[in-house]
Amino acid sequence: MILVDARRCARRLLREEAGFLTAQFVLAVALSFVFLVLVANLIVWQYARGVLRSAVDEGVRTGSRATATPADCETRARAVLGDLLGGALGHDVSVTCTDSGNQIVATANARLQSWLPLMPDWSFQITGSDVKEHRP
Amino acid sequence: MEVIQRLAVLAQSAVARIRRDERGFTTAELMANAALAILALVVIWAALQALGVDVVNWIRGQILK
Repeated sequence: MILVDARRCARRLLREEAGFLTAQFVLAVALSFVFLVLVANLIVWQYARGVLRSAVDEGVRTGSRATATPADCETRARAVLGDLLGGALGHDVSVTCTDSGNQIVATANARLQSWLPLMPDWSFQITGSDVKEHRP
Repeated sequence: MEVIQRLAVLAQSAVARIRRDERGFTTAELMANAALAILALVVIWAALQALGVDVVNWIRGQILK
């Protein structure tokens, strides 16, 4: 009987669930806010990627004209970036255009900084190309 | 002697603790916990109310000029 009691006592003490519920609640809310920030960061990154895609497409569209030069392509792409991603997120983004005779190719290199130290920065490259028009 | 007495008291309290049935949740405990949780929620809400505009402006600054 005493042994059973002792065993139950030990089991119960090990399974002690007493605590401060509010502190746990506040901690859980704080952690959920961190998670929320991470999700918001991912959403903004997706937006930035979409902007880069648009900038590259717009650049090659402009650069594909017969009279246009790669500089026109870059200027147009940078204008789109300035309009849609002119904030701090767009500081580490570069666009270059090259004319290979029959094709104009725009390449955007981006490194998007994360908002929280626990998530790494996101680096990627987006390329767009179009047929280069020639004068008849 | 005193040590034995203290051990006996400890043992008694342990046995009493085991035998005491703590199942159930009294209304007072429930209300106290709910009050603390609501207080925490109000504090969080107030902090968000104060910082929310700044946070939104900061995110806007990340995206646009």
